[in-house]
Amino acid sequence: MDVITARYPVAEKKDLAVIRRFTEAVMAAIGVEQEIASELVLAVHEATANVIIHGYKDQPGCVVIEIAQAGKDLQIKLRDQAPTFDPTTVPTPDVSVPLGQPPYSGMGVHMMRSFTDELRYRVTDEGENELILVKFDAIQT
Amino acid sequence: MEITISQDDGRVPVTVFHLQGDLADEEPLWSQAQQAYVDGTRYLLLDMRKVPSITSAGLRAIHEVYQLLRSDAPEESDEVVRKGIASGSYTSGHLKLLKPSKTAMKSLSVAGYDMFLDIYKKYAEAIASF
Repeated sequence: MDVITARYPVAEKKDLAVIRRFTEAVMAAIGVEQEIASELVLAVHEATANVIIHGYKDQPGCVVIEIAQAGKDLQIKLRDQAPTFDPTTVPTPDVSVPLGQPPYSGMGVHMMRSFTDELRYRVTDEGENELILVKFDAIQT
Repeated sequence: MEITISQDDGRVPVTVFHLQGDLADEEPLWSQAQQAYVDGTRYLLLDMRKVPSITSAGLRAIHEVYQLLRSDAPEESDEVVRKGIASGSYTSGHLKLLKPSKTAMKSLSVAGYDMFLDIYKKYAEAIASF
């Protein structure tokens, strides 16, 4: 399995654009189909934005992204040292009526779920959050 | 995200925000829309032909703009919108979108925005629809 890793020791909100560009570049390099690549870039953006904004409460913090290819499948691991939080438990927002305050607390996770095939979470042995985004058949032959 | 602004006329005066770049923050769309509203804009077309993608923060900005534009429109009161959504007859008369990319469209669909915002492929049709 080929793994490409990027480590952002002091990631902040302004680094989200850099993280998007890194993810885009890796997707292009390993031959991920364009539409799927764009969606995965968004999923990674939402995951890292949640970590930086909610996990680290807009303070600099470490974010590690590992992108691994296994045949035609893609697995993206995001690790961080923010207080443990399992985003897979966030309920799907009700998007049926656009009135009042929209349910944005769950929108990022909703997008992650929509743009991937699997979303898995665990706390590592080191006590870090690890979120795994999986997309099957992402890579063109 | 860069925004250039132009004016056009349908049956009403229409302000057009030409967006360029990923819609990944609430700013500058929200602040520009607030200023336009203060300056008299009530009908807004978001030209999304050069917007590759929309994040949840971008979706939040669009929703805030939508709420702002209907805030003094009695024909789009909460009750009217609720009934219109339930019957499938409601879309915003004040905010419309022009040609989002495939990825941007996916974000809009995931958030349900395609249910209450009209989306046009051609500029002239979008303007004429106001």
